[in-house]
Amino acid sequence: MSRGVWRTLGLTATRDQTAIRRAYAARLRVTNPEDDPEGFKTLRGAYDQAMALARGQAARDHRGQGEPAVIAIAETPAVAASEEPADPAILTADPPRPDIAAPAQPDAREAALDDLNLLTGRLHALVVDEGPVDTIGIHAAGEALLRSPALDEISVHGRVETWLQDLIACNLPRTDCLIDPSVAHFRWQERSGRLETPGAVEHILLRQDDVVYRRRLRARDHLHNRAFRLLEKPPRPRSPIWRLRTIINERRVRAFFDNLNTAHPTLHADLDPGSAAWWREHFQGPRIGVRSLMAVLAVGAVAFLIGLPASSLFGGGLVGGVLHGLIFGGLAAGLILARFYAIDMARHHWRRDWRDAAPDWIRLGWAPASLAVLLLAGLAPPGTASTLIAVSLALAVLVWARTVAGERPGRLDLTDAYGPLIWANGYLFPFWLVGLHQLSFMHGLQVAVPLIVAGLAFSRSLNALAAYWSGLAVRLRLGLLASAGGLAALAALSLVLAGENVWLQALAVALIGVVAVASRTPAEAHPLPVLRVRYIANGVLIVAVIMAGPMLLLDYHGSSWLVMFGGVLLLGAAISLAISAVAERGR
Amino acid sequence: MFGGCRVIIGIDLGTTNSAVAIWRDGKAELIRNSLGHVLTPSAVSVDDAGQIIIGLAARERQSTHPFQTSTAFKRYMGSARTTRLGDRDFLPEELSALVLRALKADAEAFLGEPVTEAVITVPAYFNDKQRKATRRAGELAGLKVERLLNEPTAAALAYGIHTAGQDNLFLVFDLGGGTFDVSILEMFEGVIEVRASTGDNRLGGEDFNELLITAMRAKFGARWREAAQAGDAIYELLRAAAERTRRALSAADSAMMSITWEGEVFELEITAQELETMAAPLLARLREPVLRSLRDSEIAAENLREIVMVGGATQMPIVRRAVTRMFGRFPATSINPDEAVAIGAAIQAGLKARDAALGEVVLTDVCPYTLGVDTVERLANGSMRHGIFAPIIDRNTVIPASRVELFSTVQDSQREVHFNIFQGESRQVSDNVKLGSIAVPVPPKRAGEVQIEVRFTYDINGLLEVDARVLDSGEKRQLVIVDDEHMSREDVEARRAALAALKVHPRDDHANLALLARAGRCYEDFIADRRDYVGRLIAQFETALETQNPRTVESGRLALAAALDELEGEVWL
Repeated sequence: MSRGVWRTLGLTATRDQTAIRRAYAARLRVTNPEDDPEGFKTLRGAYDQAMALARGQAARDHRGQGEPAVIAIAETPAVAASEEPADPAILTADPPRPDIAAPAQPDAREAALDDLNLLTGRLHALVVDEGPVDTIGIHAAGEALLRSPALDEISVHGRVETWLQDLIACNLPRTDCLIDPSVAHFRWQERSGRLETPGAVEHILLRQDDVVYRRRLRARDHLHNRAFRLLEKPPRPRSPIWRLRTIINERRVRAFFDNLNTAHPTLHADLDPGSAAWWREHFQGPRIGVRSLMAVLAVGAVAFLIGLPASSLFGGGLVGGVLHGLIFGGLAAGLILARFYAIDMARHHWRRDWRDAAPDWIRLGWAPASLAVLLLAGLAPPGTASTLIAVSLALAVLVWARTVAGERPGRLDLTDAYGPLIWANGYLFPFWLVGLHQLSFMHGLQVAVPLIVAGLAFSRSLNALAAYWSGLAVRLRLGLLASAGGLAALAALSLVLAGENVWLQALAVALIGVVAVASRTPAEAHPLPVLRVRYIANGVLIVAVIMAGPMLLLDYHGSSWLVMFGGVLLLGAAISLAISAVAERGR
Repeated sequence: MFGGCRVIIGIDLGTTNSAVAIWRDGKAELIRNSLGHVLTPSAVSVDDAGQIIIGLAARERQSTHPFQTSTAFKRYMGSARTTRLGDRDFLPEELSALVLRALKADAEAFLGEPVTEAVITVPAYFNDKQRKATRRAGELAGLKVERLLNEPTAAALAYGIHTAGQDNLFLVFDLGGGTFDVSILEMFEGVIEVRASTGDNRLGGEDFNELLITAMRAKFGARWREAAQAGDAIYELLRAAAERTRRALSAADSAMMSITWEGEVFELEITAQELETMAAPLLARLREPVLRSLRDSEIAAENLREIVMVGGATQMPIVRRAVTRMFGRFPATSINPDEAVAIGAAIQAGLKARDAALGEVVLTDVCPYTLGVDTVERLANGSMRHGIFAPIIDRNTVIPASRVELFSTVQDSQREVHFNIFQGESRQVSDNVKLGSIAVPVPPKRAGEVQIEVRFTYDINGLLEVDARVLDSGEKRQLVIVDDEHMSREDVEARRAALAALKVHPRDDHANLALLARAGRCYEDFIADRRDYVGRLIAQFETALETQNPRTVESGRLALAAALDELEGEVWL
């Protein structure tokens, strides 16, 4: 590109701006804009680029020598929050050109500029002073500066304007008192919304509006008055009264924050920083809201009503009703709190503090853990103790899974709702119903709960697992698929051998559950066509079973149903695993 | 006539006054009109017989026949606003055409040969519509408009920017009747380059008049309760009185502003000091365009070689003082600010006619406003903001220019992308002027995956061409911005013929007409004794006219003029 520039101008690459201009002028006589617009555009483009290169080089050269750049006039620097405004001492006068007579005496002009430097210095000192804000002093210094006669001269005026806008913008809210006189004097209101208006000016105009709005906020009947007053004071998280105020005013504070963020962003500087931070944290994390309070009260009220008649627990009557209400309300409150602290808070802290640094076994360990619990539940002999252990282990694994994962569901789930969950796992229901029908209540619970937990965990938290699966080596994946196949064979064996043995039946159900749940994992990593094949295969199988089903109704027998359902499930799982294996090998 | 080169005149078509000049004998010469003045007021009036009166006579008739007179129609050029004079409606360009026709006649009388080509000046801030309207006005007057020249460039030419050998930076400070333009021009190696061109098109001498009118209203407003703000006879009286007072204050320390309304005289004494205090906000407004052009061109005020003052309002001492304080030195005023633009136009006309006296000078110009399209911005929280202006050609880009920007779709499966083309300086398109729109079909894809290239080409006459091209599919659409009041050749011819058919008083009558109009105005303005006196003078003059004896008429005219000068001061332009 640059070679074309120099060729168009007919020069060798140079930094001499005069030479570039001369070349441009010479070329311009030939290619003038009226006769040859296209040629002129090319020429002008080349000229602009050459001059920009030369100017940039000149600026770099001069900076090295400590002199100001050749092309003068203060450029407006970008406003950064921590930027210091320009040193006021820079505003010394450049000596006037000797061949132009200034009407003002040079001495008078010098004097006025010296005075101006004093004024800017004083204003600067007052503003950046570390101590409390001297509003009156700053305002007076600002007025004195704006009245200075040195500002009549346009170049001084321009530089003071740039300096002042940066000083004000970088030091809000200390410089609030300077805004109105500056905006009036420099007519910044007229420049609002224009393309070339610097960000500092727009920011100052915004602050001007916000200061007016803040005045309105102090009126008692303003919509956001209570929220504003709450946020002006520091937080007191230990005081229960303050906590209660928090819960009651939460919606108001949220509305106020929304309003601030959209319409009055500079007002954030007027809130107490601790308070603002506490609320921001509060809104991000999980919290018990008014709805939970309402739920507890509702449960308590309903329980009270149920406890009134004499036939209920505690003998009925008012006392019975109240006790009823308190106990059940307390239970409800306990459940809500348990969920909040066990799952929501844990998840919040996990997301905030540990997620990024956690090792794989914590992030994904719930998957093999849930399957292991399911297997153990199937193997363990039926009994209250083993049931309790199995159920509590399963719940723990569920909490683990929901805390750690529980992100956006995988491709297999349509939306983040329970409907699709039921759809995806629905085909398991008849199997479970039949399988667990024979078992006693506790034994059934022992197997069912880990099964449900495994299903839930895998359905809702499949994303991370699938990503991990994709990261494994192909051989490892094939190996895992093979072991799943082996488990399937084992399940088939146990089904056939179970007969009337309840324990073996439970084991069979558990094994089939493991296979069914685990066989879904590889699907997440498959491309869409393979997935479609899997779905179609399973669909065909289910349709075939439905069609053939009525024939088998002739001979209803619990365990034979179990065998039939189990067989169908295993067949489906086997087909899925086979397809997955083929797909993996094909990679 | 010299060597068969064609004769092109240069015309300054101003808001308040117009002038015409020619390049002859190696210099620019102003052409005097039928009254012997160099400046012709841009005013058109219709008398009871339907005949057109142009110039000073028309301006004098403004207070006596306000509904048959029109002034300051330059502000409405490019719009379709019509003014009713007598029994006919006039477009602003038709009124300008009448003025141009009068100037053409003056030039032909002066040169003794027909004139068919002209260079007409326009404010640098004029947009495409306004420039086209000015061209049409020239055509309607029977002039081939060779070139539209920007007024600041003309003024710089007048100050010899093209003859000075070394690099020169000129700042042209043009404060006219209604507009304020600041331009920075640079001359190097025989090239005159416009570095920046800005202004405030709602600031001018008229605004200073408004200050005086406001002062009058403050004192007497209660008595004039029934009179409306504008478009009313009393407002015209106030305007004329304000103008006179303002000029008087340029020479003296205090002046009396007086009008006569319904037989009563209302007077207010104003001092120069009071005017300066009242004008402080206006003088402060002068700073902003100057700062903007210095910033746009990245030039320090110290590096300017000359500050050129153009426009009648710059003759006010308060303005001159403000400019002197602004730049720390005296501005250049060696050429009459009212005449500089016409002289510059003549110089340009001479350049176009390739008169051997002038060397080759090339002028480049800039686009005085930003051109771009509207876009949609996606904010951090995911919401979208509509109506954001995306500039494609920045203000003060040298023209002709061609710039290109890339845009993409904002929604999935978008079928069409709509570009609305705007001109202006505001970040929100709602504050800018819409020029047109263009729609281009795009292949349906995800948001952001389709790229459309938009190219703006702005030519030297202010014609904007927009090309939109979809990079994936190669679909192209083009739009050339033409104003919707496009007139065909036949229309222009028809309108020109219609205007030509309007009767104008013969040249010889102009002086008498102007004087009678002035006397009529004085009659209306004065009361009691002075009014009777003026009435008698008018009667005397009309008697002299009836004799049809040239010498009687001439001496009668001089006597009446002298008497009126004594009563109200000399006539001003």
